[in-house]
Amino acid sequence: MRILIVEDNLVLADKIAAALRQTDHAVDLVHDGEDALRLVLQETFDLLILDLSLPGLDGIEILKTVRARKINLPVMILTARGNLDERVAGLDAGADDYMVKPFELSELEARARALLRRNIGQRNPAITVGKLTFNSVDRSVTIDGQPVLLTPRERGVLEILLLNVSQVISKEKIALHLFGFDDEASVKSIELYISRLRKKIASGDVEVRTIRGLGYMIDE
Amino acid sequence: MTENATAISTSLRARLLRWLLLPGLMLAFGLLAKNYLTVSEMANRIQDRLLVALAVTISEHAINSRGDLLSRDIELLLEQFTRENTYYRVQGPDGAFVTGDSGLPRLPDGVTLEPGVPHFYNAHYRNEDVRAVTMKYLVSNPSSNIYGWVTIDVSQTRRERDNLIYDELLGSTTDFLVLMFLGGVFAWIGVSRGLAPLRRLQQAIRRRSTDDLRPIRHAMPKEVTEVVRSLNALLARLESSITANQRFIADASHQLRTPLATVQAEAEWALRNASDQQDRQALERIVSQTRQTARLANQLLNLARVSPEGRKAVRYEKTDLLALAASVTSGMVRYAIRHDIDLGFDDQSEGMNCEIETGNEVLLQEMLGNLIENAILYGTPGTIVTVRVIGRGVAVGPVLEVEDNGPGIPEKDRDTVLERFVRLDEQNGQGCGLGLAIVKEVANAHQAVMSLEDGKDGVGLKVRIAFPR
Repeated sequence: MRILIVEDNLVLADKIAAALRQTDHAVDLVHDGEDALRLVLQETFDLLILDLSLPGLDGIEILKTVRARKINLPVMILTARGNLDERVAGLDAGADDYMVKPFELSELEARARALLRRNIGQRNPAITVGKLTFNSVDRSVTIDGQPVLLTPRERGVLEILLLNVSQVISKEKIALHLFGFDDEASVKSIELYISRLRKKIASGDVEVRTIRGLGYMIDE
Repeated sequence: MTENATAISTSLRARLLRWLLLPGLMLAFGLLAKNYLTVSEMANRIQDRLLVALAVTISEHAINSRGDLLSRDIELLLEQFTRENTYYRVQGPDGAFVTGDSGLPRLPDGVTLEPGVPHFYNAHYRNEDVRAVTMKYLVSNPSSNIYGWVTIDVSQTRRERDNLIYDELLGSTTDFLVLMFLGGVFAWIGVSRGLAPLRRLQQAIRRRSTDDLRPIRHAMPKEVTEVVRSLNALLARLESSITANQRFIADASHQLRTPLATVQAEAEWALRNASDQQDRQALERIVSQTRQTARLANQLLNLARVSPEGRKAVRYEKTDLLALAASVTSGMVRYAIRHDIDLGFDDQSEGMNCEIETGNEVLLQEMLGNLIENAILYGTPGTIVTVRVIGRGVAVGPVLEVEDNGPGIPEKDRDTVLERFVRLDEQNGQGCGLGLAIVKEVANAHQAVMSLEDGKDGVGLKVRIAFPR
């Protein structure tokens, strides 16, 4: 996976790059807005980590250009401006995620991973969490390369959870994904699918967590 | 506003009325007095002429009849016509009494009579005020036995004259009172109508939300435009100072956050790659201190944003508390998991609506985030934290609760923890003492009632925010 970091604070950029390189990603660094835009338009990246206040060209401008050119590139905004208007402006301009400084490196890594996974399709159809891999093209599930047999319903539950790694998904959302509606009976049945799914993927270092009153979440 | 200013503002109408009515009353009294004087002057003159005529007639009669009194018939006739009692006395030369009423009041001392010129004066006779005339003239009538200076006094009661003046005064006083009353009524209406633009201005200002600082654009009479202009200038200054304040907050946040992020990233990175045990401990301390500093910086900025001076520019709109609480809680789940805390959500809305009429999403998110963060940071591994939303009731608005079974806050300290920079547990390196102060500010901004209670079964803490209906 190839990641571009656009951040004018050299030390911080350096540390983020180092952390991401540890997890076997190729990381490029630029410190000014115009360089960043040139690079994004020329090369192909899997993730753009973008500071908003840059010399040369504002981060939002870069983001708008990327979106206007229909470049399929997940963008995570990194900024010290944490108020809501800024956040909304960033997300409206087409950002996929938003982190306010200061943040923890581990948090940034986890979110970057989630964005990389979400960007499935052309370049990398596989989602990997722990030892479990989900191929989004043929929807096959393997643990350590061994296929796991799932019913279509269980597969559907796993799919929606994996597409939203580290995010809480409500039973209603899962029911909508499976059946296209979320009446009480179908929502109740979700618990059953979850418990069966848990048994089948127990060996994959993957945990389907129950989040009290909110739903479920897959986490490493 | 000082006491004085309020007094002036409430009595503007009264002051205008005073200015209209006081001179009016004085004018009325002046006119009444003048009227009284004129009327009594006139009445006097009429009576005086009558007295002179009577004096002449009576003395002629007395002389011609050689000292006879007026006949009873004439006296009655006189009384009937004048409606007054008439007394007279005729004295011959050397004060010899000729006829009439010998007890009549005398001419005041020090008055010398000119022949043929009547002298008028007021006197008292038989318990009544009388008007009197005295005159002397030369009698040289050969047919009478009187020869020389004759003095005649005639007095007449003043009942009719007093009645006349009384009626006249009563009439004009009534007229004046009616006039004053009508004047007052018209003045009141006029003043009210004159003040109406001010009242409209006041209502226009009162209807505004706290963050509406646009200039006032109401058609106003000339006298008020200056006030409105000054007010608009004030509003403009206020707005620019708030904007500057917010810009300062944004700048400060930026300036603080980036270096903190850098230090934190550096320290975390070093910690990952440190093998030496002592280095690791030092770095862990640096990381945790940096986190705390970062949190302090964040919270300071948030507090600046939610404090009354910082939240003027905040928009309040209908906000669904249930959706907001669920999304904030979801966002903090991973944070809780990292700290080994069981964070969950409890929807007690039972289908009731959980909307807050005037809510601000940012502030509410900030508030709930702080409450959850507190519960996580002060909790021990395994602590159960529950965010609960209770739907709107008949008489109460929606309620937000954050309950934990952590260490709790002793009852005696519950008031003090709401103050800024108060921390109960100096050993706990996580909090910075601003969290609950922020929560309190946000609750205040929403007119919500915040209370700290025991958690379930008297264990831990329950923070309850009850929103208004």
